[in-house]
Amino acid sequence: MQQRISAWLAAATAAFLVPLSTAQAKTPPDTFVVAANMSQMITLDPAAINESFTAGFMRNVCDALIGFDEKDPSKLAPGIAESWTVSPDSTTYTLRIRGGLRFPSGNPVSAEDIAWSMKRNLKLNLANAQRLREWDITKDNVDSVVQVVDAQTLRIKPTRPWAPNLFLFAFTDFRVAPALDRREILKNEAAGDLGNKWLATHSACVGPFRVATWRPQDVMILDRNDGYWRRKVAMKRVVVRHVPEAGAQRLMLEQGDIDFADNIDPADFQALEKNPRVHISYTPSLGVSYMMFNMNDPRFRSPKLFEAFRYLFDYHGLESTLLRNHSIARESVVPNGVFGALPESYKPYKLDLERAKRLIAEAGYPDGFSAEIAVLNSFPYPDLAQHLQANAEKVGVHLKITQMIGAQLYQRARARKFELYMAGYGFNYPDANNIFLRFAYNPDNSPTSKDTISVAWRAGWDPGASFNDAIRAAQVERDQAKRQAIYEDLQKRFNATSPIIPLFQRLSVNAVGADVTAFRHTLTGDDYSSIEKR
Amino acid sequence: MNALVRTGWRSWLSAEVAQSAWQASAQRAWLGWRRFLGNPLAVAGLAVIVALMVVALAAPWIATHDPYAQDLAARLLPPGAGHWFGTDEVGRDVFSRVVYGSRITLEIVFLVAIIVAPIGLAIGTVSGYAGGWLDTVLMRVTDIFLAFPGLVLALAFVAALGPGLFNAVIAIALTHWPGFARLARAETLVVRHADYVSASRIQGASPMRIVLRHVVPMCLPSVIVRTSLSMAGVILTAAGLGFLGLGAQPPSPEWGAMLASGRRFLIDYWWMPTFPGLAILLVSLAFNLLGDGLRDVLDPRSE
Amino acid sequence: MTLAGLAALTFFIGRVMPVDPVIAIVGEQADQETYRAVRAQLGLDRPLPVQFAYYVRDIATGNFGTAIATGHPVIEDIRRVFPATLELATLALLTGVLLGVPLGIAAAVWRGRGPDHAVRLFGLVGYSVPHFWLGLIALVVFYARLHWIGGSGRVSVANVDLVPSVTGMILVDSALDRNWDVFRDALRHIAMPALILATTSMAYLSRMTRSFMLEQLGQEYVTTARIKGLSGFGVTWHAFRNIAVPLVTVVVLAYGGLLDGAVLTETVFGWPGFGQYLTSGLLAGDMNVVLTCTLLVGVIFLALNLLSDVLYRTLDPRTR
Repeated sequence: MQQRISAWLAAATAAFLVPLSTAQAKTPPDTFVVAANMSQMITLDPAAINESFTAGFMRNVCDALIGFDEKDPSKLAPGIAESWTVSPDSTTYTLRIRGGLRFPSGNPVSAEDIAWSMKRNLKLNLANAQRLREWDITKDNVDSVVQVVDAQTLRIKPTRPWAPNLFLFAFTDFRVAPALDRREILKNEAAGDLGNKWLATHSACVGPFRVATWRPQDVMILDRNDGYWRRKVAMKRVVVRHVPEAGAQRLMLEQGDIDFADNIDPADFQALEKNPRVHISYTPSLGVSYMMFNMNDPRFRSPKLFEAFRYLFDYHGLESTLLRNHSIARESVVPNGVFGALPESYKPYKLDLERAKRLIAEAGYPDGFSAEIAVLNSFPYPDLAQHLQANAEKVGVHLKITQMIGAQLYQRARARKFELYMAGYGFNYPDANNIFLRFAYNPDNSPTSKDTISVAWRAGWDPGASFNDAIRAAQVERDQAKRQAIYEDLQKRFNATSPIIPLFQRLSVNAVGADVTAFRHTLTGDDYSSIEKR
Repeated sequence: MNALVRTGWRSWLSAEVAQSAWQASAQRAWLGWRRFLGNPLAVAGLAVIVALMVVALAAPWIATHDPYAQDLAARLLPPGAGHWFGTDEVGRDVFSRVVYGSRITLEIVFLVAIIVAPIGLAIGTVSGYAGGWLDTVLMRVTDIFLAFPGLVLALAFVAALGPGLFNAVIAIALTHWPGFARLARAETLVVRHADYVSASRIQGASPMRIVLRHVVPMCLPSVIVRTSLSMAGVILTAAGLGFLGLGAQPPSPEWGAMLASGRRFLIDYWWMPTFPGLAILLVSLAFNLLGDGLRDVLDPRSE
Repeated sequence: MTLAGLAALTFFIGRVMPVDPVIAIVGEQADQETYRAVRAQLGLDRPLPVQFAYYVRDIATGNFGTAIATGHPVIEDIRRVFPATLELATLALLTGVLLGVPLGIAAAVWRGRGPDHAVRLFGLVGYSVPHFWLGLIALVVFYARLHWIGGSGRVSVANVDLVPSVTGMILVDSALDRNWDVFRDALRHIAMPALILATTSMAYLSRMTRSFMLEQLGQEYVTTARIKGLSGFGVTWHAFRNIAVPLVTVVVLAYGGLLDGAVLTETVFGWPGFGQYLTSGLLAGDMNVVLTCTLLVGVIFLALNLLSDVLYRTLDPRTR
């Protein structure tokens, strides 16, 4: 019986070494088993992936042109582009594509594939087209901006002289310029959709793994691509099971049924830290928690009011209890680890009810006021909101909390239909430009503005011409030290005038079974190619 | 009444022949009550519900702490001398929150009952008595609502109306009235051919009067039973909605919401979701037992 | 006509929901251009009556739209997820019948005494317990502490896709394939969710059985049989045979009620079935999914009611 089943297993799948006695399940040494909540995974097409779980995951399937140095993540390192040069006036970038690369289909990788994928991104005009538009690369100018010099050379001529370090950051995200297997994709094209339907459920790019199976909200299986250029990959297969309950994920991890639980809840941190069968570690991420006022509401105009609320949070208390190992207090809008950030020691605010009450009175509300705060309904926002509510009550402000799911909350943000708001945000790359573009840059604060993506616009905040201009100036400043100085100044001005209050920076929790001896976690995601097991 | 004073109320209630309609009704109620008392489970159910009302009314005296007071230094403490049911993730006393949560539970139950029973009764009796196209239309509408699983319908309504306790009550009421309407209609169909109804009609009583004076009272027993039984389901649905974050909003100590926020802590800090869960179970069970007992007493056909 | 009303009601709910399906697709950080493009793609910029007209036309031609989360036609998705729920509900129903009916009989036979009260209490507890709470506790106790049952999902990781899918129900498929290890594994995973789901139908069935039995036991032929000396067991057996028909119709109705419970139970146990599909569709504001699923559930309920009526008429010898 055992032999027959082994034969069956070997025939149907790669060689699994799992004993079928389910009393003590262990995962095979060359297979990495993950439990994650896959309900947000909608599509695998790089031109359309917009949410963080899928993006982080697909980074292990599609390499980007440029990566980060493994020893010093603040430095850029070669990816699919093995080297690049920038012209002195910052208008021409020449990238040399690594030679000898092949797609899983066997087709060779050339600069044409990359240029094609960028044009495809713009033509399809889905969620990630804006990642190119952000750099003023549009459908209309892409043919002159992106040029194929030869099979191994790509030339990019942006229309603005962006600071080189900044512009190159764009290419660390695989969704901007992935190496897509043009021939394979076009073979599977349907009605001129440039393979969008096919790529939604398949992968066709260069990376350590390829997608072998994907059943939405059920399971995803990645198979190793042999001969990966970056390193020898130990894992032959990665299996991701859909487990929506964080508690169930933890139980599976403790039992040894899985190697990695993607959604460990902070309530389980302490128990897992004590469990010898589990390794748990915490690394900073580019996610933040914040709250904001809606300045379109005539009551919320005074910067003193905004300042007052900055004193209503017990940052240190929360950081060491409720948010322990989940978030760290970060009182500047630019998170730690991002170029341009103020130092970690920058902590000008703490819980001070007296001061808050005084400032609220100075803002014109000596008897306080009532307001509704719209809150994302996942941890930690309801708890943070209740903390704020309790403290606000003590200074005469009555807050009514309304929790809602993302799709509902973001709709209200876009429509500017809220009074107070509390949620999280995930930034894309570790440069302050990214942060200020999203949270401060707001040249057109009118209701008909096209910049509804800007959180500043949603808060109805016009930072002023000099602020907007400084952001634009920093984008093309070649001197890194000068850029740093501009951003530091902007962060301080932000805290002094903005209705947006930065609160915490999220940590990413990594919980693996004790059999996993190596697994690299970075600011932008988990590297499955680096995994080693006992 | 003189008879009452002279011979004592006990003998008045057990007199062989009733001297007035009032005495006859009182006697029936008294007999029903005695039969009810003979059912220990039903009595237990009633006791729990009475206890619930007492706790809700006397909450400020029974609770040991302020249910909203946060204390980050005292979070996640196990049940003990200082906190009988332990503390939650922001240091609030779970016992006090469960106690105050009883008020919300009662509020929901009461509001739903006074919305659903009259509306269901009205639609059902009108539909059953009038017959014809009115009946068909009303019953089709009822069928459409009945064709949905209760939770899904409530979910959809609350999602549409927005989260909040009041909206949750409306949504729950919207999902429960069809059952009552059907029940009332069934009873009405039986009653409308009764002799005394026909007699009333011949005497020239208006349909409205007939329905109100004759039909509705006949439906009342089964409606009362159904109300009690439904309340159990209402509590569970409200808990389900609170569980999904669509009911009472924080920091309100609604039991379903407490289950939701405590669910993450089930493995290591079991007291957080367990006590509200037990409270829901107990109260829901009590309504079921009560309804069961009432049915045995009021609805002879259930024998 | 009920179906038409159902369609209208679900459409109304769908459009009134304040959840924005466009945001579910493009995410919070999409710019105006992307948002508008996708909105137009979904046909949401057309006036409401027009949308409804399209909706009706689509349904009439069997086109139930594409699900946002999977990118596949909703019908295909339902075909994929339904067997899981079917398996779970069927097993739950069987459990409910196997446990509920004998309990109901016992309650009727020993009416008014210990067993009757015990069964009543037990049944009512089943009605009153919040399933999601019970499910979580079961996972903690029986999976984490005692290792008696499997964890989340239908089978453990090693057995995913191992057995060729004939019916989509892993228990059936693995039995057909004679792969008993997978069968055992699947059984270990389905046991707890089925048991928890069964608690409500157990309560319902035990009470209905009790009711029916009491009716029978009060009849003349029973008294006659007792006088004639027929054993207690024999009497019970005869009475039971007479209620078998109405009981079957009740069982059919109970099946529909299980769909309601599946919604939360599936979430707790990570069961990739219809209930989970509907809930995630609802919370994502995916109208195609919500409308199609609720229509389907409505149709199933109606069909079960009809089946119940038909069975009653054909099987009951008295109505022939």
